Amino acid sequence: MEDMQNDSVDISFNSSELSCLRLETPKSSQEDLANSHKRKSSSTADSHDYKRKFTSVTLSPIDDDIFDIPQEEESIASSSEDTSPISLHRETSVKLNEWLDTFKVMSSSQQYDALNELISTCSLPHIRFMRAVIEPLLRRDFISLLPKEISLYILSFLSPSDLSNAAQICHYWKKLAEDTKLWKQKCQNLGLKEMFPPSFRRYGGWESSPLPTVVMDLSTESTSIAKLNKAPLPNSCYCRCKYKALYLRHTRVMSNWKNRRFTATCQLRGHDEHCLHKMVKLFAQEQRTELFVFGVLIRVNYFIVYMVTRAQCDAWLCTKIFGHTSLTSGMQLLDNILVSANADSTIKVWDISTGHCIHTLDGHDSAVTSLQFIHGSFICDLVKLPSSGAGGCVWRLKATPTMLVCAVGSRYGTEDTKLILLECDAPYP
Amino acid sequence: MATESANGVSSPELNERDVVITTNDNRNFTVKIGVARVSKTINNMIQDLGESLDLSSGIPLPNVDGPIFEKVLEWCEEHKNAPEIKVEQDPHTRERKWFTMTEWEEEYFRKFLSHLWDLAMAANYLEIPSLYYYTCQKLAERIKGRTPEQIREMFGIEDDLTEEEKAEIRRTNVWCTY
Repeated sequence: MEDMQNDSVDISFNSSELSCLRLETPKSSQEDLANSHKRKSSSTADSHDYKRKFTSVTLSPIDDDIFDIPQEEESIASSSEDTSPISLHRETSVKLNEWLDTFKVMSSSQQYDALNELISTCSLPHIRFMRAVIEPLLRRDFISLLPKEISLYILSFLSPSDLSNAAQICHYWKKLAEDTKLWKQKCQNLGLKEMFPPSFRRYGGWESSPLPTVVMDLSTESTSIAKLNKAPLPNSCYCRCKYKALYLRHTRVMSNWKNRRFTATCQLRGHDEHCLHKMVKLFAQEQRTELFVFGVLIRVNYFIVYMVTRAQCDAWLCTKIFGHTSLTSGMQLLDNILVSANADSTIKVWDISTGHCIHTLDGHDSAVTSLQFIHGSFICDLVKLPSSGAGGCVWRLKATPTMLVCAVGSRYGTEDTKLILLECDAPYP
Repeated sequence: MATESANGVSSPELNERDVVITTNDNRNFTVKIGVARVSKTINNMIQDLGESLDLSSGIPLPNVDGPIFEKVLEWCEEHKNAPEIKVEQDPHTRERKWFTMTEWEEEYFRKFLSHLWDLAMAANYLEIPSLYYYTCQKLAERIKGRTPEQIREMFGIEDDLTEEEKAEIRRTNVWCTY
């Protein structure tokens, strides 16, 4: 994908070179006349020289239309001069001026036509020469030339990895790529305000616990337990640019979630099921603090949405939702979106205002017993039990921004009753 | 679009009238007010002047030169009735979405590729959000996905960093490429 984009950028750049043949070159045309000798000797034009020329000319407003194209013709002329003696060169340069004058009085559409004709008569070496002359003119460090505000806006389109590349270009770019304003805006896009504190685990929480820390049996990758410093301190990035650190930490934690890259895992054994249920339920109640709560009653194959007003302890029926074929055992609500986990091994996403099913997510082999939103998106395929669903199941899930707690048990004793902790936290950048 | 009347004439009629705009190289452009109003800066001037607006004496633009203003006008003409541009977020990544451009706009930028940064400056001064955002995006496109060497080569930037400094930047930015 990335590659494809790059290609398309390249293509557009190439085609632009063509149009630039017409449009850009103007400004140095006068000087080029004077310089044509010089260029002959070093025909791969010194980019620096051109850049300087360029900037100096743009400052004084010249009507480009007048000088728009001649450069090109001139450059061809000078390329063909390469073999001719100097006396002849003088002569041709007089003719050349006449030719240019004729060109200047043409209407702009005629000029383009003339150019097209000219280009079609050119041989490949001519074209190469034109390219060598014209290309350096396009090289302008616009980031340094533009006011800082605009440069920052341009950079704000880029991803962190592009910005890191940009920082390696020169001192000024480096300064801009780490500008507070730039990263603050990126944080605002993500709705990030403050860096969440390092998790208990980061402070060395589980390390000192007497319980054994066990590496999870994940089919995808073996998870190694990260070596942690106690009481982690913000690193240099935090000192240089707080918002950059905030943004990077956030994206890194999110990427840990998405790629199932756990920085630490742990199993806590020795609970009975009753205990697990209680813990998880307490956890759940804390989150129900808003005034309006949607209460959902579970039936065999449908559920009813009630709207509950806390203040008057009122409840009224909103809608009934049909669609599942078996028992619904877990659900979560986000605004109008209800997600339900069902024993028919599907997860369905509903819009409770209309009662319609928006999506059906399948892929599970067995009954889905529990689910949990995180940052509005889903966690999938995080825990794989040794018993792979044969009797064993995840009763409850709870998540904080950096950690997932699963309460695991089984009906037939194929799985120990335990809590599995999955840690996705990342250190401070 | 502003609905309040300036110069005692209601807006639709006013939009059809001509105004003279003078750029800093003393070139005069006669423009329909409806077109000129795509620029919020000019629109504000027209409104502020209100009754005292003398359409023939012209509005001076000290920060824009003629050739560039010509190109800007081309954009304004095309976008005179276009709705205000919206900055959208990608619902998945929550990052700002890159704008999708119409064929006309792509062609416009292809044509004026070498003037992008002049356009960005002018659009910023004249407050034409669509042109400003799109130009900046076009410029960002040229940096995107390229190595520092390619960018330096492309824009003829002098490398004033030492190898140690570059290594240091790479080291402190490892998280960016995560």
